[in-house]
Amino acid sequence: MGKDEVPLITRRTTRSSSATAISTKNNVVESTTSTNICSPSPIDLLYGGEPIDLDVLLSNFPGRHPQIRELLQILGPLNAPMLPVFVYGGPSTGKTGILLQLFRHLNRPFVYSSCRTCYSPRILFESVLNQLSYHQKNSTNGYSSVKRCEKPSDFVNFLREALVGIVKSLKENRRKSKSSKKLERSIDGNMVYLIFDKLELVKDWDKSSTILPLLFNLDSMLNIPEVGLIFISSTPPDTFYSSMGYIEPIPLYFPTYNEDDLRQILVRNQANPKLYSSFLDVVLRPFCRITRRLDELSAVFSPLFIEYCKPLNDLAIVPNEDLKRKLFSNLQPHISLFLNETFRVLSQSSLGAERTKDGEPRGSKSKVGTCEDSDELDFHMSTSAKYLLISAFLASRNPATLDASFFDSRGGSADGRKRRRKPSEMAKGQKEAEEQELLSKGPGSFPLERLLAIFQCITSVAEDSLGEEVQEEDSLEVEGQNNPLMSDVLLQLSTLCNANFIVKGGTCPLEGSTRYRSVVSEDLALKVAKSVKFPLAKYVYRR
Amino acid sequence: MVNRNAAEKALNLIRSRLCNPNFIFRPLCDSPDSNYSKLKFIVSSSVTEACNNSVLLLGPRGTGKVAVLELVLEDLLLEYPDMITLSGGVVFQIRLNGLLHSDDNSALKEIARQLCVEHQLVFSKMASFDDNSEFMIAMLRECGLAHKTVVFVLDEFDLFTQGKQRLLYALLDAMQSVTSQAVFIGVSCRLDADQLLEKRVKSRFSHRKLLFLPPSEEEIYRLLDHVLSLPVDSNLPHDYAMEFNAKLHSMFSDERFRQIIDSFMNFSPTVRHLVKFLFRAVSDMDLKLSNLSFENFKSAISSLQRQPKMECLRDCSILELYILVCMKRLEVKEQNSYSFSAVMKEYKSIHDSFQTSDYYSQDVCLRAFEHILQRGLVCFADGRGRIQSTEFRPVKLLISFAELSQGLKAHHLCPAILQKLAA
Repeated sequence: MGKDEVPLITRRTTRSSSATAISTKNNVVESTTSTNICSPSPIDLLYGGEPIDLDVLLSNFPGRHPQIRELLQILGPLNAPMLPVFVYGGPSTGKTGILLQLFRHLNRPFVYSSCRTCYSPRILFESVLNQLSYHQKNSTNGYSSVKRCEKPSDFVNFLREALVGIVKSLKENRRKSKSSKKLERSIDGNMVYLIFDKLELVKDWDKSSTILPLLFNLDSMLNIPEVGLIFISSTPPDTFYSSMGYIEPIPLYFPTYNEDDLRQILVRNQANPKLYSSFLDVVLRPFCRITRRLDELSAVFSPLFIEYCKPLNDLAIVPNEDLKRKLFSNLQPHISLFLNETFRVLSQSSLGAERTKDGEPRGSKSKVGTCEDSDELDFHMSTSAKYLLISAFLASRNPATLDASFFDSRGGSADGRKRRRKPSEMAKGQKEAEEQELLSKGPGSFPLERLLAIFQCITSVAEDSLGEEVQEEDSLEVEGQNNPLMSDVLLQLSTLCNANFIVKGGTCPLEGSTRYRSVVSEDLALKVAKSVKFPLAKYVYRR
Repeated sequence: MVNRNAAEKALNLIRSRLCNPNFIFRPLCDSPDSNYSKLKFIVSSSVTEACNNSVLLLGPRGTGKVAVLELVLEDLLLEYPDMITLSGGVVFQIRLNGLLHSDDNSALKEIARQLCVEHQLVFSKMASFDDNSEFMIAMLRECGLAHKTVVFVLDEFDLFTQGKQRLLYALLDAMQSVTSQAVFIGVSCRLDADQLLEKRVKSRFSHRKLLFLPPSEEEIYRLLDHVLSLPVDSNLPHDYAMEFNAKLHSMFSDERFRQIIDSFMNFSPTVRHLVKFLFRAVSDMDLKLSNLSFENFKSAISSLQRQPKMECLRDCSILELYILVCMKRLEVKEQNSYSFSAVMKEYKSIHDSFQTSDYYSQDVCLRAFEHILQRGLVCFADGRGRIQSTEFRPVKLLISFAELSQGLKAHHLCPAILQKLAA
């Protein structure tokens, strides 16, 4: 996926360079925004950079020959009108990349807007209109759009005006280019194409019931034959059905890559293709059982390949059978480890630690994979926030009726449990099943008062232990039971809510107070407790 | 080479015909009792006898309602050229769309804007609702006095009937006066659109309805001929066009071709769908062969009639298939609501009893579960509530058991154990 991303980036950077390449007059023109003699033109709607050959396009995207051929057929020869087309397929299957490169090859002007960067109807409308008026948002116009457009009716009117204007200027350009032979970059054809990417995100918008039918009916509303519409989505067209109908666009399917194509793509741009392909022989099949997405596979293969190459002194050698076997047996224990961490994103600190301590043995952290399992938190939280998180976890985990036995008013823990008879084996099994049942229902909800009560209990315990260690902090003891950890609890609570450690639930209809729910996993709670030396296990309810 | 150029020109010609609805529906206007002639009669009577009329055009999407209307208006403009005044023809239309203008304010603003454009007046965006409605009534009176007919076309008419129907009432009421000369045409895909009207609006409406039906078989073949045959006297080489038409006609009588057309029309009978099919077939035309062949149509059918859920299933990885099979087993056990943690328990029990090689940690399975959520194979059963995290929300399958087992069979890497478990 990283290789495919490069052309997308060049579009952004060469947009301005293609504008400046048009004529040297531009540098003067751009400084005075009032006179726009020749800089904005339909050439701005072309893909930045030189147009490429069809063979280059086909070799850039292995395994996509049938899709590229179909797309070329639907887009048609020069000046052929088209019906709207709907391109769909799994994520990272090359839909956007191929489409943009195809327009680079065909040298036809297009307007691209992604529904991820344009996350509301207004931004989507204004982005399309800005591109059609060659308007760039910069500091001189205060980063504003060329027109304010919120309603669909305004959008259709402005769009029609802008498209008619562009088609006219395209036709004039052709006449002019026929007369004057010199032209730096010529545009092919009179047609303009509108591309809407990431259409599946529109379903989550509030106004999706009007925006989706609007987009799908756009071609019949505009009724301009020189405009082509292309939709890209990662979900199939049947997920867009709604109560408001439309004539469906022509579907074009991009299947996920099979193993051979994946291998071809992953081997590209590698320093030592033969070594990498012997690496892929070993790892591709087991990892494809988990996921077939190209971006996830390339993300998990890069650290694994480093591990694979560790015993090699020279990274440029071509491995023979013997060496391959040796490398495989060296890699084998790591494969199963990595399989279970396929989707884990390495955090910054662990990545940095990897790089600095390259070849040194690190004791318990010798394997690459286990650096995630360290008992340390890899982000920073203030002490009171940590205690609040622990209280929230306990409040969600324990039933409310047992709070009295766990926490007494002075903060002692419930070590005085009543002695019971040792339960029989069957009863033990039953209780385990019940506990599993409770766990599988998920964390319980609690009101704010209960959270504060538990927090108060816990921190008075911590106060005592803190007070023993730090003797000179007497100045912090302002009044009686004033607790330096109690400050700004409500502020900490809202921070934890925003960080998605605590979720705010609906209000209870009888009491009227909001209820909260803790959604941290037990591992994270244990880590936090360990970092403040809090004996969490004593407080967690187990039957 | 000459052939290739001619083929490309022919391809462009046919494509532009297919993208132009007015061309496609022209042959439907020939017979005397067609909707075209009825509609033309209504509008022309309003023009010549200076009366008001209202009619609803109803029919499934893609049967040519708006196209026939535009043909009628085009032809009328040709027929009454002697009464063309400075500001356009004797008939002009105001188009509103239910998707865009269902709100009364924006509808009146759009009417005022189109009136201004037609009569070359300056339109003010700041005008209020009352200003616009006064303007509209005044313009209607003026047009009536000048014997100009206003045609109001309301697309997606059923969307205008939501809410209080103020706009419909205002329009139909304005048409009741003697001075105005207007035709009110509503276009809708809902066949019961007139039942949606309020009582006071309904009483001002003439209850005239024109029903647009999907084409019959001979109409289809007439349409195919009309669209696909190359004109003999155009700038295309004469013998190329004759050869093309001859091959086309021989294909029309081919039994397999007729079967394909029949099966397609059973599936989606309207003209626009047929046009989509023809477009796909024509774009597939091999320029070297420079003729439309039977294979083009066959490949067009298979590319248009897709099974998206099967495709999704074939794209899934083995772990995702495991999760789907676990969910299926839970549903078979009639657990009405189960969450991802229950699916994980089932997954573990499968691993314990069958010792599969595919046992992965909770995080990996959660991510795989999110993949199939994104693809639309499963969904949350509790609507849009987001109070719980992903692991504890109730989920359900969006594919049937038969589709699942079919998909497992079609998957090229599916382990046999999964197929056994899903049976």
